[in-house]
Amino acid sequence: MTGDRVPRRSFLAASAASGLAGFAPFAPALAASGGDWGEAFATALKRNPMLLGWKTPPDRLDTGSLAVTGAWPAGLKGRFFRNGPSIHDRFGRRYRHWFDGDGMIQEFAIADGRIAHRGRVVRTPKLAREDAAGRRLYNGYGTHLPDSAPVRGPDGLNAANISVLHHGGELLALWEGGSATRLEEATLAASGFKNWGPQLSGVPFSAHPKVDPDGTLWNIGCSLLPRPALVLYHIDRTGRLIKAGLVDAGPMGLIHDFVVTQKSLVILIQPFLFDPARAERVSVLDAHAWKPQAETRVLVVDRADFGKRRWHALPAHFGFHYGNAWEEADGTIRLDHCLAGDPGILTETLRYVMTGEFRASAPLRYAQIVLPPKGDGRIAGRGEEAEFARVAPAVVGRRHRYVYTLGAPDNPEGWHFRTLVKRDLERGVAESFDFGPGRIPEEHIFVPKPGGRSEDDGWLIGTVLDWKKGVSGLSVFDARAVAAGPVAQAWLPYPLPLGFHGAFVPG
Amino acid sequence: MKRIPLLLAAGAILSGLPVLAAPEAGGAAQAAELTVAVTGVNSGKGRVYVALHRAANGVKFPDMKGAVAGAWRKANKGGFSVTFAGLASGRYAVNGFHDANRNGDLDTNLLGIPTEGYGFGNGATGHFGPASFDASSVALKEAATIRLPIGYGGSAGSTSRESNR
Repeated sequence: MTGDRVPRRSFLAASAASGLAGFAPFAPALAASGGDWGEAFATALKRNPMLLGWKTPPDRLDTGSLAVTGAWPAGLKGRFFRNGPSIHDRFGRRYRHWFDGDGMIQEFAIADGRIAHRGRVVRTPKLAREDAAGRRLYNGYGTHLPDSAPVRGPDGLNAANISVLHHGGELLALWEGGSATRLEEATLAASGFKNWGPQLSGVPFSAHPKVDPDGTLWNIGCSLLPRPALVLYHIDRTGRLIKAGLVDAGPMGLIHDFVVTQKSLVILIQPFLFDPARAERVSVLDAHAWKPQAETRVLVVDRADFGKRRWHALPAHFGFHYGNAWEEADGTIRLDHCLAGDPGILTETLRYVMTGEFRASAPLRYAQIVLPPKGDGRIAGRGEEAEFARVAPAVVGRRHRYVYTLGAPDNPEGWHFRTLVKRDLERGVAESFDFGPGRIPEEHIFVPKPGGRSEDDGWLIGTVLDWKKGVSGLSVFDARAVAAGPVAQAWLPYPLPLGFHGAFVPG
Repeated sequence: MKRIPLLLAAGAILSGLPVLAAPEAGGAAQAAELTVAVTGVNSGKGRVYVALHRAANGVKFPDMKGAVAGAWRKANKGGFSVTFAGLASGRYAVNGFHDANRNGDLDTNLLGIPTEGYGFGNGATGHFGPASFDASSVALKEAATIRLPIGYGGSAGSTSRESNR
């Protein structure tokens, strides 16, 4: 029997070498700051209703027909999905970072002149085990539990809480530390992790895949444990893997987004770096350190050959999202970026909002990054406050004229977005719509009009929280006339937690 | 890759007889026996490999190259026991895995994370990595039994913690 041998591969040797063997319980600094954050948040919410967007909703929400104001465009039919951290509190314990809560899919089904809403918590294996145990078992991205249970891999912590992807006929809830989670379209129930192919089970699949106008999908995966590495994916329009690659990119931190051009994948490695040796004792977030003296390293990988790579340097900066990128004939790459001078928004603002406290941080501003064919890149044209950049699907990887973002011009209410902005890169101008006091808009995505001709011939669809009225709504804009305000809005009878990203599935 | 034959284990796979361990150099009494109670096997597909390790034999636990004895058994949904006989007394750590596709190895993904079931003695767990020798081990005088729960990818390695409570 040829198989009756000692296994050839060293048993878990790769993991052992990473220095992560064993698990040491540790009381983090935050735990020492006393008490559950839930009480502090509940008290703050009474004083400041703006915090409604960080309150935990019920596991299920249903509304058969939303109240519509204005004229909903007849051609805008289908399903609009959103995802975001939602279950911040459970078992009398509140997470200590906005990014930790279990994901919840919000679905707006638009058909026959009616809009119905369903909200469903994503029952990941992680959440199912916690519910069975009746307590939180696992560390979140920014929360370290003194008594957290060990995991076999990143999917043991998978909260499926960042975005939604509908590709190759499959609906997926996206996280960025591990696998995508399959969702049954009829019920939105979680039905296991997506495995894209051989040796890809349990490998991270990021939450900002880019669908090329040719229908194929590009994505990165960012692994921090058991070892830092980048994974590259190319998936065909039916959802079948074309190829995958592994890049040892040197020291890195969690990478949230990337861009594609028609020739290249462009990945920015900001100097907010993860230290695996610290990860046993603190949260994933707190195992990162900001190195302002270091540079942002930019990796450009040839789409046709993952082995062909070039590197650029940029001044140190921090940001979550890029809009789009294109590559010029001489190899120059230009990309949109919403960036700040440091990661304070992540380490301060979005952490302490969980206690109901607003801590100011450097705002994210629109910039264009220019990478020459060789040599250092530069950050050009830093502009106004901007985040959640989106472009029309037809221009992904191609030269684009318009970028849609949220903005927050001189908002006297403090930290949150209040405007939807359309930026015209050719004319160097922007137009915006102010949602007004008491309203917090979220990411708006571009949906092309059937038969639309120009880049901006479509709608922008997105959610908004009206914290004064205590309800959430759905807005639709004509993308050619953003400043004119929404052409229609549809209101729920309840608020939704503020979330991250969504997808529109025409139908 | 190079395969290292483990002749003593090979003959025992179907016999159901105790596995005879290789005599240790300078070993005195070779009369002790260790029973490994494997649990948590999720299907009858393929085989399960169970290995015994000694401390300080030059190979870092849980590298299978450092095992002092090992045995393949047909996978049995739920579990089974395997007894290693003719052992010197002392401390033994145990690990094992479920080779569901019978390729002779513990399969891993691109990042080295196992994609087949595996486990450590006493249900010991590591965090994003292996459990320690000490936590996975038992002291053997004449006879002893040690649990070896097998767990699978995507599932947290918390089975033993929960069952211990």
